[in-house]
Amino acid sequence: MCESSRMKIRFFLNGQAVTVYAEPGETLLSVLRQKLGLTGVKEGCQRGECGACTVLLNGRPVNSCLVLIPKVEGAHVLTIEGITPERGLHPLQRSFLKHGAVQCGFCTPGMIMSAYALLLENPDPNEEDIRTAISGNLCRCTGYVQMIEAIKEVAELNRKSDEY
Amino acid sequence: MGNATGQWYRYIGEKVENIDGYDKVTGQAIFFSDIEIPHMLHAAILRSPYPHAKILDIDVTAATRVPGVACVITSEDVPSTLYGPQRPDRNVLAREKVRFVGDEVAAVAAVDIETALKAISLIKVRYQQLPAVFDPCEAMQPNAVLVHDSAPRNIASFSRIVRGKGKDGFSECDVIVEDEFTTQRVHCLYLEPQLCVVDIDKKGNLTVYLPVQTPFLWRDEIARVFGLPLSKVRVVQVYMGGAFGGKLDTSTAMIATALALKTGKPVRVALSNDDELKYGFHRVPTKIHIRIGAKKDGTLIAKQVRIVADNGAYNSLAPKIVCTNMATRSDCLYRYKHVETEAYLVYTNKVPTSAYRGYGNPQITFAQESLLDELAYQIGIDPLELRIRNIHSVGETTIHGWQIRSSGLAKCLREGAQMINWEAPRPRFRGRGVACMIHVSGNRGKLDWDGSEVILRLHEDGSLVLLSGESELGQGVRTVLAQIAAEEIGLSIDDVKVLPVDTDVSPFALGPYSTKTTVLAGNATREAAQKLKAKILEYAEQMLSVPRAKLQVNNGKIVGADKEVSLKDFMSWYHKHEGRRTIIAHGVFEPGKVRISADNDFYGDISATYPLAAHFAEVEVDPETGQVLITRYIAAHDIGKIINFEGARGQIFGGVVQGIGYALMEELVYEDGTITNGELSNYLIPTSMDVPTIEPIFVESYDPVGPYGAKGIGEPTLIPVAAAIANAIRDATGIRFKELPITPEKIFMALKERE
Repeated sequence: MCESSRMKIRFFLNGQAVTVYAEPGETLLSVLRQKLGLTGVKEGCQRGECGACTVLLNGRPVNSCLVLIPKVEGAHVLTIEGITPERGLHPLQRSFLKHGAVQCGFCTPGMIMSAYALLLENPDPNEEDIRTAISGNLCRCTGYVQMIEAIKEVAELNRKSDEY
Repeated sequence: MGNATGQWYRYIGEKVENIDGYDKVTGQAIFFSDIEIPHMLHAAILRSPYPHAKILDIDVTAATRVPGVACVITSEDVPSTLYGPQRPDRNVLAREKVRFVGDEVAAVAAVDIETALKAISLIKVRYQQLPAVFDPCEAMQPNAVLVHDSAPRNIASFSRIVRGKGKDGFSECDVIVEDEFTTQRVHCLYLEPQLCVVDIDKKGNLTVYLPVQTPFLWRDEIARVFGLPLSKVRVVQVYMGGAFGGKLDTSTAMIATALALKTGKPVRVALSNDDELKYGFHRVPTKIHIRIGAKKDGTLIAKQVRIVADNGAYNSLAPKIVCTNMATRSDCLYRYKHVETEAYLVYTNKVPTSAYRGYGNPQITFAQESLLDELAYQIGIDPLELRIRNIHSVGETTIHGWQIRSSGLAKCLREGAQMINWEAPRPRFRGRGVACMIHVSGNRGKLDWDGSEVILRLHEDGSLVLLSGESELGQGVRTVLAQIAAEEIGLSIDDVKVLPVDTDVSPFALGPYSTKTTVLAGNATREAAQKLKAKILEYAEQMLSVPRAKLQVNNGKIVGADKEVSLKDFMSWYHKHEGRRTIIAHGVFEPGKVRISADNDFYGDISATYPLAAHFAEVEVDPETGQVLITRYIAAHDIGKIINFEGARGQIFGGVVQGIGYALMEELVYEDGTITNGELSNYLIPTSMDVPTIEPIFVESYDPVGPYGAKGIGEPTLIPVAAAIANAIRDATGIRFKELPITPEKIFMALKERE
């Protein structure tokens, strides 16, 4: 371990300014889990294929296992912990529960973050949009159907509240 | 919601949210891969690069000298006792020889994974390569090299089962069809790869964080192999990222235990997804030669099967999967008169094969249901009609002695056919297929006692704690048990806490596999809850001076004769009068006494219940590309009685999508003993883009043994998928595809060849 190559990285995590010291080769995933104690973001395949490590980086969904920490300097990172309110649940979280879209739960945080990112960019997605948005998140338990139903319902609620 | 029996349930059959759901959607849920213990060492494994070789010597000197390495172990540092979940034949670390590419040869525990990997790279192993066998048929030849000296002709297991006149029964048939079907290696690919964290204290007590489906069995196995008393081994579980049968076996546990014992420190051994794909465990690949004969009116008479299955280098669970299950299960769907099956399980120098959702049933169902359609075409009758005419009815006993106490299969077939518009004309390259399945739910098979015990404990504040040895894999067993407890006692489900499995605390259960937990643990919970309620009312009678027959528990309150008291206040009274003791009740359920093996010729009513299903697929084949588009998919399941509505739907969607992967997409490809596509980027599983419209149909047949009439559904949802799709492709193209997966390339080539 070469101490002298450690960098000081400052960024915004779930709305709060944080500072970490890390090797330039460390990934955002590793920093979030090991250094910042956020285990909601999951370590899956470690090669950007499964999506279990999905977080938002400046509003865009990324596989945090592929993001090297220097890239995060000054950026905004949003994780599942960041969208969970103080009390209650985010509508996506509530909808996933209601529709039975959660089985083992390992893909769930990443899946919800991808859905969250979709709705940020496109508040009125159709089913095709939803399927595409979560196509980078593998799930082996649920078969995706109830997740698509859950995201649809949140989109529908958004549509209705917009009509006010 | 009422039902056919007129019974009203608050929770049973309803949409009840997963009790673990909040933890999971908020990211709070701690999974095995999240576990960190102070001073925990990280391990790396050195694996064999050769499929078959003698280990001449191993030099670990350079590896041990790497700063930060706590220890390096080889077979000399671990017990020589063989381990395995069924027929132990595997060393903790390879001894004398290696038998597949990936066989574990050495392991390193170090301060971090980078150091461990560095040390691994410095271990020098001298091998003497041996000729290897990869094809089971070749491996069975008399002059083939032996994978295990103890297994002549590399036969790991064999069974021969004859009923009635066996193959002589074909003399009674008017029409006979015969063909050979091939199924491939796949991986269940749960998202959280296998790992094990073993913690150890100064007295050598082990706490093993092990994501297996059978925690008690692995506690026993670790104790046995390492010569430890059971009391020194404690398996503790947290949330698990999927299992599907693949976590019935584990190699990480043994290595982690060895390292922890050697170093006296906690050790973590973790695989990656790529390790899983390349090194284990895979679904048993098969070559199934099958012959079915019938009368010209479509009455099924005789069936003959010869299975040659690939065991891989070590037994894992394949012996029973092939020689018991594959050899009998599909026969029990129909009223065959004569059956003869030979099943060969053969050692090869490849990754060990094991359990994956269906436990042999998907493979044999693919063969049988495919060939039945060919039989139907030969006879000139509708494949649907052929099935309807021959399926067992309630009250019948199958050819292997299964007693059908409930069956909704005829209804599944009729309703599914109606929903998919079975008879409607279809254009060229569009087709429909049907496939049935029968499975067990609550079967005997393992030990002298195969049951499940549940303990309920009423807390001081009137809430409930449920203890069970059934692991939560994501299938929702904890929610189902909480529903049953809440229903029977009269509590709110929000007041029921189901504790995770801890072998020092939880009562014994084999664990979830074979689709058994709803029946076994469900019935056990029901019994415990009824007993607990009886105890509550016995004391409430004293407290309220109301005869217990007039008392009920509703929504956490004891009510009767115009009196009402919360369970919380009841418990306060109880403590004042009986002392500060807990109220506890036990419930136990075990399947019937029948276990099958070669000793009783595999005959017997082995399961408490038998779930049934019929799947219908409608496909459109693109002749330009060979791509298959599934336009509709109907999964009709006789579930006995739904316990959790969204949970049951989830099992259907999940199983069907896994089945689509099996039927059309997935295959682990071997070249000279090495897997060439052992990465997630090359081994493609279904994504959200691959999911068709799936329509579940639930038929409730109210089984007399299952809790509230329920039968399990976990494995059944995958079992008939490949056959239904293959039959639909046959209808669409006129071509019978007999080898899984049915890829676009295969379809394209076959269509081209036909032109």
